[in-house]
Parts: sequence; C-alpha cells; structure tokens
Amino acid sequence: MNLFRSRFAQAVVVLVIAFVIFRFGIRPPAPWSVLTLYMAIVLLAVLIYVSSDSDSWREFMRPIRSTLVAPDKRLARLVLLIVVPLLFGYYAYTQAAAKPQAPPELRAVHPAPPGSIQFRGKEIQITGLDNPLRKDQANFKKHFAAGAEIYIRNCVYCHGDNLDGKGHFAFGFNPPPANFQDPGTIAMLQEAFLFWRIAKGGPGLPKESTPWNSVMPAWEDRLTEEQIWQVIIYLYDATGQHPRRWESEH
Amino acid sequence: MRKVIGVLLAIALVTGVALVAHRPGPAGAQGGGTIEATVTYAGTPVVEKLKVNKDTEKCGTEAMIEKVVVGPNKGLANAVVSVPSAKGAAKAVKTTVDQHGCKFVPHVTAMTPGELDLKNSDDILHNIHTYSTANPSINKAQPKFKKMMTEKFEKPEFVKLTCDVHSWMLGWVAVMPNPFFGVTDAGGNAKIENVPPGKYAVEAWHETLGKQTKEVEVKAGQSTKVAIEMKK
Amino acid sequence: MSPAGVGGRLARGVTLVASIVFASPALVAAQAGNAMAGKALYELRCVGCHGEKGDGKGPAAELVVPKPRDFTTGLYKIRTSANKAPTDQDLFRIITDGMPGTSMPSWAVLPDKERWNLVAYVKAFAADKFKEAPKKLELPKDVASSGESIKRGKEMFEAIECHKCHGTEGRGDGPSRAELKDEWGHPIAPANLTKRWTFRGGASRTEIATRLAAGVLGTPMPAFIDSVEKPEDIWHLTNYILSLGPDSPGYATLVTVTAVSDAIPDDPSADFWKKLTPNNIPLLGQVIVDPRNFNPSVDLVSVRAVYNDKEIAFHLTWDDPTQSTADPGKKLFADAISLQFPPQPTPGVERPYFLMGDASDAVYLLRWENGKGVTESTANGPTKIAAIQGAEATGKAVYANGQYRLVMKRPLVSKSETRPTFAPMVFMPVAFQAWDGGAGESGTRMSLTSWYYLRLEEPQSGRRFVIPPVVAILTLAVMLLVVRVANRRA
Repeated sequence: MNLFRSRFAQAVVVLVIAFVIFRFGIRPPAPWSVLTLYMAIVLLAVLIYVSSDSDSWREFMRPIRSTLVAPDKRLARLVLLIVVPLLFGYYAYTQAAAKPQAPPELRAVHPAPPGSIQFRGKEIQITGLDNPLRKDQANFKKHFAAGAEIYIRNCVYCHGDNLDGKGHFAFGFNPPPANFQDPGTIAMLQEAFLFWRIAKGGPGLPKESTPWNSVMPAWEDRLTEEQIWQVIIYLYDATGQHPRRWESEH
Repeated sequence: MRKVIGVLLAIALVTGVALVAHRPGPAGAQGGGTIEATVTYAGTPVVEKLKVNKDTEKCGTEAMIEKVVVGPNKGLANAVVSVPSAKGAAKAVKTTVDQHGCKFVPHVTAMTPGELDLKNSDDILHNIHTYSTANPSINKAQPKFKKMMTEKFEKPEFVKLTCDVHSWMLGWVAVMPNPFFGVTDAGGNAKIENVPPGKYAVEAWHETLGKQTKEVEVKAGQSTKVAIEMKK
Repeated sequence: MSPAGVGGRLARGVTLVASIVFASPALVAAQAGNAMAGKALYELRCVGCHGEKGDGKGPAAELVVPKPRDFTTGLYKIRTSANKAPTDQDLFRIITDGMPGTSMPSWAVLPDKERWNLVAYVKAFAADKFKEAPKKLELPKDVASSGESIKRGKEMFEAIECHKCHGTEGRGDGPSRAELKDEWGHPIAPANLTKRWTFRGGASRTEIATRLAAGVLGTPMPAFIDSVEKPEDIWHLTNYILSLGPDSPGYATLVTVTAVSDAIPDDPSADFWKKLTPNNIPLLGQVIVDPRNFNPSVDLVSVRAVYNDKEIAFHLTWDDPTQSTADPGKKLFADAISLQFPPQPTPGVERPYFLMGDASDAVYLLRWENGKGVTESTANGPTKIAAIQGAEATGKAVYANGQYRLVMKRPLVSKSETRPTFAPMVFMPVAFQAWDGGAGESGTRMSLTSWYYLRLEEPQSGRRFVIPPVVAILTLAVMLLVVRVANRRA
C-alpha cells in the first residue's frame, strides 16, 4: 500500500472525495460555476497542506518530478503528452461550439411598496394598512366566497386552481406567476402589499422588478377596493397562510 | 318554388313507400278496425336552408333541414300517429333508415322495439349519432365501405338521429310500444289497421310541435276517421 | 426565459412521471371513495367551474372553452369502457392528470384518498347513470409502428374520412369543422392531430387507440371499432396519427438567427427553410386589456430566422384552421401576426412594456395581415398604433391545410429612429402577437408572448475548428517546456 502513503496519491484522493461530495451530495445540485469555485478552494487547501514543510512538499513533488524525468517513466510521459493536450483541445471545442443562452432576468421579487397609492383617484395609505374586511368577522364567509369567485373568473388562468402559480397560461410567461402556496410569497407580506400589487399590477412595479415583462394586469381598472380585499381574504384562507403584520410602533 | 314542390313530392313518395313497408302485419286482433288519421297544422312550414361546403356531388349544394313540413289542406307530414293504450303484441319487422343524398330517408321512422338497419347509400362517411335517454346513445362512424349497420332500440322512445359530418342531417326513430302506429304522408294522412275494437286516445307526435291526443272509438271491421290539429 | 423555462419543463416532467406512477391502473387499485367527504372538497375546489349542482355552470363556466363537464348527465368524454359509463379509474385519472388543452388542471397535489372521494361525489350527481356497470373495451392486438403500418394508417385515415373534421394533414381544419357541436349544444373544435400534447385524454398509444375505438362521448367523435376494415386498423391509424407531429413542442427560450452568405428566398415553401431548426414559441391569451381573450386560437408559432450582410428574414409557421380576411358583417377579421421589437436596442435590461409599449416607451411592430401584407408601425399601447411612413419590409405568405407559412424581410440596418437595427451577437428583445380572424380575434383579442430574446449568431466562421487545435498545440508546447526544464534541473 505504498501508493496510498504517498503525499501525491493522498492529495488526489482528497480532491476526488471532495468532488463526489459537492457533485452528488448537495440537493438540489449546485451549478457548475459554484462547483468550480468549491473545488478551487479545496485544491488551494490541499496545496497549502502539502507544502506546509519542505519534506512534505518534496514527497508530494516526487512522483510528479519522476514522471517528468525518470527514464523508466517514458511511456507514462508520452501518454500524458498526448492525452492532456487532447483534453484541453476538446474543452476548447465544447466552449467554441456552445449555443449562447438568453441572458438571465434578474429582478427584485418583493420590491418595497410605496407609502401610498392613488386608487381610482383616491389616495390609499399602504404603510400600516390592514385588510378592513377582517374586522367584519360576521361576513367573513361571504367575503371569502366572493373572493373565490373573483379569483376563478380572473386569476386562475395564471395563478392556477390550486393557487400554486400553475394556471394554464403560466408556463409561457417570465417572470412566472406567483405561487401563493409557497411560504416565500404571501406569507411574507402584509395584506396591503398584496393590495398594491393587485391594484397596480405589472405596470406599477419599480424598475428593479422588470415592470415591462410582468403580465400581471392592473386590477384597479376592473375590481373595486372591496373586491380586491375579498380576493386577498381568499388567497390567505384558501392556502392556509397568514399575512405578515406591520411591526407595531413603540 | 318548383324545386320545393319537387322535394315535397319526393318526400311524400318516400314516406308513402315507407308507410307501406312498415305497415304492421296482422299483429292486432282479427277483425279489428282501422283508424284513418289526418294531422293538420295551421302554422307556417319551417324549412331551414344551408349552403353545403363538402361532398356536393352527393349532398347537392344546398341542404334543407325540414323541421315542419306542411302539405295541401294544412296536412302535416312526418307526424307519428299511434294508439299507445291498444293491446297487441309487437312483431319483429326489420326497419331500415337509409342515409341517402345526405338525408335520413325516411325523415321519421316508426318501429316496434327491436333492430334497425342503418344503410349508407352515399359512398361517403356518415356517423350515426343518436340522442336518447331510455336507449343507449350511439355515436358510430359509418364509412363509405360500411354499407349496412344494425342497431338495437329496445325501449319505446323518440330518438333523434344526427350526423356530425353533415350537421344538417336530421332524422327521428319512433320506437313504439305496440304495432298500432303510422307516420303521416305529405297530405298529413296516416292509416292504422287491425286495431282491436275499443275506446282509445289516439296520439299524434311531431318532432317540433309536440304531442296532441284525441279520443276515438274503433269498431270491428270499420274505418274510423280522426282529425288532429297540432298547435305550437 | 431560460431558467424558468427549464425549471417549468423539469417540474412538468416530474409531474408527468408522478402522474404515470399514480394513475397507472396497475399500480393504484381503485378505492371506494367517500362521497360525503368528497362534497366538502368539491365545494372548495370544483364549484368555480362545475357549479354547486354539478351542472357545469359555475361562475367561471362562461369564460372557459371547452365548457366544464356537466356531471348530472353522467356523460364523460374520456373513458376506457365500451359503453357509456366510465370506470372509476377513468374519472380518477382525469382528476389526477387534468385535461390538456382545457381549463381542467391536474389535481395530483391532492392525496389519493381525497381524489377517490371526489370520484365518488362526482358520480353521485348522476347515480342512476352509473347503474349499468362499465364494460371493458377490448382493443385489438397492438401493432408496433413501422413504415408499413403508418402507410396503412394513412390509407385508413383517408378511407374513413378523418379529414372531414381533422383536415387533410390533421390540423383540425376539415370542412365540417364550423358545424360541429357537442351534445350540450356548444361549438366544439376537432383535435389538431399534429399537436398531441393538447389531446384531452392523453397522447399515449393506448389512449389514442382507445379514443379511436370507443369515440369521445358527447362530442361528434364517433366510435370506429366496428367501422374500420380490420380491427387492427385502429393501431395502424394510431401509428399514423403519432407520425403527424412531435411528442412535445420543445419550446425555445431564445430565437437564434442563422447567418447565411447567399440570397434569402422569398418563397415560404422553399426547401431552404426546411433545413433550419425552428424556434417554437408558445402564445397565450391577452387578458390585460378589454376585450380580453381567454381562449386564444393561435397557441404556437415556429420561428426560423436568417440574416445576410443586407437583410434579416423571419419565416413564421403557425396553425390556423380558417383562412380569413376582414368581413365586418360576419364578425370575421383578418388573420395576422406580428413581431415586436424595441425601436432601438438598449444596452441595459430596460425595455418598453411587453404589451405593445406604453405612452412613454414605444415599440416597433413588424406585422403581416391577410389581404394587406406587411406593415411597419410604432405602437404606444395596443390601441395606439401608427404606421411608419416609407415601407422597408416585404413579405409573402402561403396558406395550406390549416397552416400559414410566412416570410417577412427587412434591411438589417435602418437609419430611421423608429426602426431597430439588427447587429450580430446582440441580445435583442422580441415579442410575438397573433390573431385568428376566423375565430373573431382582432385588436386586443389576440394571443401573445411576453419578451423573449433574439440573437443573430456570429457569421459562419471556422472558429470552432481552428481554436481547439491551437489550444492543444499550445498545451503540448507548455508541457514539453516543463519536461525540458525538469530534465535540465535533474
């Protein structure tokens, strides 16, 4: 087992194990760019370790040097001289022949809401605003049912029957419609944020949220203030999510 | 106008032939009476026309959907006259509907429960699509090479026949509980023979005008006339 | 588009695999559902379309095409039985997988048990219709696909006149199309056999053969099991139908414009275009501005694009069952399609509003309309479109068998500020809009896309054949140098 005692073989084994862990041990799989970065760090760490003292370094370098100079390693030298340039050449080919990808769309998913909005000529204060229908507990069922109907007649095409953003138009649009079942959407937001988003739609987004590509309509043209609050009630109640509260001021 | 008359004449002929062909045998009691019914309708005929965009060599260039066909003296064609309460065993008589010239011929077929032969004389694709509740509904293709199909209609019912390939094609199959029925000709006349003597309600059914009944008394060996007026 | 598209496809793939696993009759035994438990779920999930009484008259029913199923009739389109009654498994499968091309989604998110409860509840709307047990449909022995089988299938397709509804090439454009109604009296469109991902009852071999054999209840599609020359013709027909189009549309996320050195043909039917790989783009209904279009007709456009040193050309292929020009009296409009670009490529990501721009940012539209030809215009919103003076673009279209093919050409460079200039290797935003005038589409009643990117690929060069050998030789030289230095030191 002379082989495994050699510093070089150990370094190779460490690198291989690290690669296997990064490649197959991470769920969901990390992209290649991240993988390359991790492997570079591991390689650096291994090099620092083997070069910690001159004996270790000499031992590490011995097999490399011998491959380069030893007369009995002529064949190995020849094979490396052929295989390595071919590998580099192949890599260069894959890079040159690669099809370009569309540039990624970077956007702020939950931009900061404005302090107030103009809703059909009326000023509505967004900051600190709660859903007024929640005070009307007696009619909660009525509001929920009205919200359900508004939802199925207007929102279902993109946001889906299951409120998961998988309506039958959803696959063709980028950015994709919001998935209300996802704890990262409405559960993180105050109801007033939803009111703003529903009322003003894609065109009302700030620039960092790519308003030009959002197919979300501005519903203030079609729904009344009460209807928007009703559909918000439906979104939370049908998904079992709870709206975020405004931080109370002390 | 001449064309319409021609078509009406053809219908009269065909229905007449069909009537003869479908006249029930001596299934009723011997020595029964005859009912001579005349069905009339005072309203205007309803015949829709449609421009044909396919199979014109078979179907012609204009199709007619004959919903209400009124002949001379207000006689209503294609009405089924029957005596539902008369007692008499149904005898299996093979009945045929032909798909000819992209029409169901005859337009109304009356039969006792049993088998119906569906003929395709057109050498093009038709599909037999029935609308029924008591009998299983059928939607079967009848391509040009399938000249004949046989379907069972076991429950009394008025079954609508359509063809989706030629949307104007419309026909009716009247499945009657007993053999005492007739389909009116172009003059609105139908004859029911061998009806056991007795008092009955004679019923007239029309695909768009619904049902009307009239009381009659049938006497052995005699012919009883009955006039039924259909109302919208 | 890319990450979302790939993610979406992956997710769909996973759902598909999951649904096969869950819906396959061999793996999931039918369970007796609890109708009472199903009622609560039905009232939460299904009433919007199918209605409280199960009559298919929920609040959303008027907006969807095809209409939601009316459970009170007990009539089900998709079934594997030979008679009217579907099996429980049939109902379970539709609830689980949904119906492609309709508003019925997949409910695979619900636990098995809840879906079985729904089956029980849905059946309860027409309990008397389920008294007769479903009879198993016996399909003839499967015939594997082969050139010969497909040929026989084509013969049968012609002999039984499938083209009357489905069209000569299967695009649902047959002469009976306009007359077709379902048993509820609603107009119904024949299936486009070249897009089998929209088949309501699924696109597997067995599913297609089953629809052929047993028909689709409540629709004009008749049963053919006794109406083919030999029973195995059902399979020949299936194999032929499968040969009519691809498995999936393979949607593109980027429109690549190929560089050519020769002249670009004007004829959309030229062989030149067939050699290019199409970029398939999905189009969806415009539901932002009134009048909205919830059930768009054109759902896919195949884009082939090329450029040379002078001009850029777009070859567009899309299915449209009727060729129509404007006829206001009959409420018919002209078929049309348009490509949308920003008037000038912007260096950042900022673009005009995807729906034909807005008051502050205009878009450039390159549009073809049946009977009118190609026009260029500037739009500041879908209803504020102004023609650009002095036409630079030309175009030619052909229509055959339910499909348009169109070539639109334009100079690569424009001096005008209202028209974009196309430059190689630049990501240029592009969007598409289409109108099926025969289906009453015009103005904002259209199908559309949000922004995509278009990129003119680098001019054909031997780069990918030159660089790799150079890299290999350089590597070899460096290695030889290292060996030499090492040897000298030793």
